[in-house]
Amino acid sequence: MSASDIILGMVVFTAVCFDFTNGFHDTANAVATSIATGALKPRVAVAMSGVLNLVGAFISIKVAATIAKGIVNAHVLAGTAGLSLVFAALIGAIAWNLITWYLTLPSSSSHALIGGVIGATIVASSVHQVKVNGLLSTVIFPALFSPIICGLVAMVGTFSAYRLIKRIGEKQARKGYRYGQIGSAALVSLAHGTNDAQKTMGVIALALIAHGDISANHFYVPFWVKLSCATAIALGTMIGGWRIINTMGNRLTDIESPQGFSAESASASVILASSYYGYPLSTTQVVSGGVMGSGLGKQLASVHWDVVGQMATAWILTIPAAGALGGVAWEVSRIFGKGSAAGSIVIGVLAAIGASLIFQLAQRNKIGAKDLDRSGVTPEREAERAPRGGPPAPAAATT
Amino acid sequence: MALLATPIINGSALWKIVLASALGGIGVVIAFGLLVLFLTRAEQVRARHGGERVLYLLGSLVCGAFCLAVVAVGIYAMAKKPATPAPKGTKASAAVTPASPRR
Repeated sequence: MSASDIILGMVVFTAVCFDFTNGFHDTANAVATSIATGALKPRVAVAMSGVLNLVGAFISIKVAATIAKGIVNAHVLAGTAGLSLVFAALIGAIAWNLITWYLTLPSSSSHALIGGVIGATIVASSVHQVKVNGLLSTVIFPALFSPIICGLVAMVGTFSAYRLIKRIGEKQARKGYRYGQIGSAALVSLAHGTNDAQKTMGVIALALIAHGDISANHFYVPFWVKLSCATAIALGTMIGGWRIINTMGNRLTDIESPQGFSAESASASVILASSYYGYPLSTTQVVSGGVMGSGLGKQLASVHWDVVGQMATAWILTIPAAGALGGVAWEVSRIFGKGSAAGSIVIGVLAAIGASLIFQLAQRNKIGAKDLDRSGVTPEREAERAPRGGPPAPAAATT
Repeated sequence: MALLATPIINGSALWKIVLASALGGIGVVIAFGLLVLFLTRAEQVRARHGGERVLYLLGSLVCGAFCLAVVAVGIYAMAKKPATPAPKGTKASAAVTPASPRR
């Protein structure tokens, strides 16, 4: 077995691990508002989302391999050194995902992956290997526009929903919107599976090309790659990233069922429209924008701007921080020789130790499904309590 | 918007995204609200006015159909989304050379 074979195996395993972290990091995107309003029990919500992520991963087989297409020069990813670079990038992305998960901050897993690739590329080669135009057009500008568009759509949607509620009656309307939330959460889950699982499929496919298992001229994604990525993101989603679900559903704004429905509908619309017109988006940023917009649509003061500030900081830091972590991972592996299996094994072991430490630290202020379960809050209770002082306080509110 | 004479943002596509998002995001919320409103009204007038009830049910049917149509369009968009175009100058989807050529 050559060094190239060992590194390929590690890249595939780490990519699947990244997909798993992507799943539990992004569960909140689809189900946070449904859980926060009590439309779905937490366990039911994440199970439904997991299954739909699995289905979504198979809906479209057109791989959006953003990493190789327009972000960095493709020849950087060639050969065994390219495999090591992708491995370092994945380590950087996973590390940033786990750090933001520990800090209960919703950040983009896709941007973490792109940041990891950019950082490792700059350290391994030079800054000139990064395509600035590609980075701006496929990552930076969509990241700036998408939360704003989604926020505005959700704001107008929420405003309209509350005008209608006055005609419908509080109890019936809230009950109806709770049912609607199940459908909108399902659509966002499908969209997430389609978008995010394919990014990892693209990474593995590129590694297989670099290794010579797939011809670059007859590019395809093997079925086992699709199946393993779809399964990993579905399992990650089913585990339930309760820490980030709490932030998205309870700490960002006080969500009621009409707001949740508006936020999810706006998110699904923006994600799908953008995907169709060829702009890959971060589902996390879109949904966060939608949740904020739904808060503004009901009442300006109901958005917790301190949490928004923390989230915005995490968004800005994601690419540079994941890049720095990817760069460090590459440097450590290079100590053992460029493209050597030993270097990749060492950073793999170090990353596993780091992940284990983060999980242990997270146990100190653990948030579980029971802490977030608000299915006992009936539409009648929600309607009775909302006019006086807003919805009931969240069960778990960490800082 | 352009950087070094290369277009970065396709203004036409961006405008279409805004329109499609508004139609889907706001349209569905209003249509779903009307669906609930019509169903509630149909329930309220059930015992009194048969004709009025039919009108409300028809209205709810139209709103429900609109919501389902938007979902169907969304799933179609997911399935038919374009692959990210390959970078200029590369024939294949990724110009990556193998570490060791295999047969």
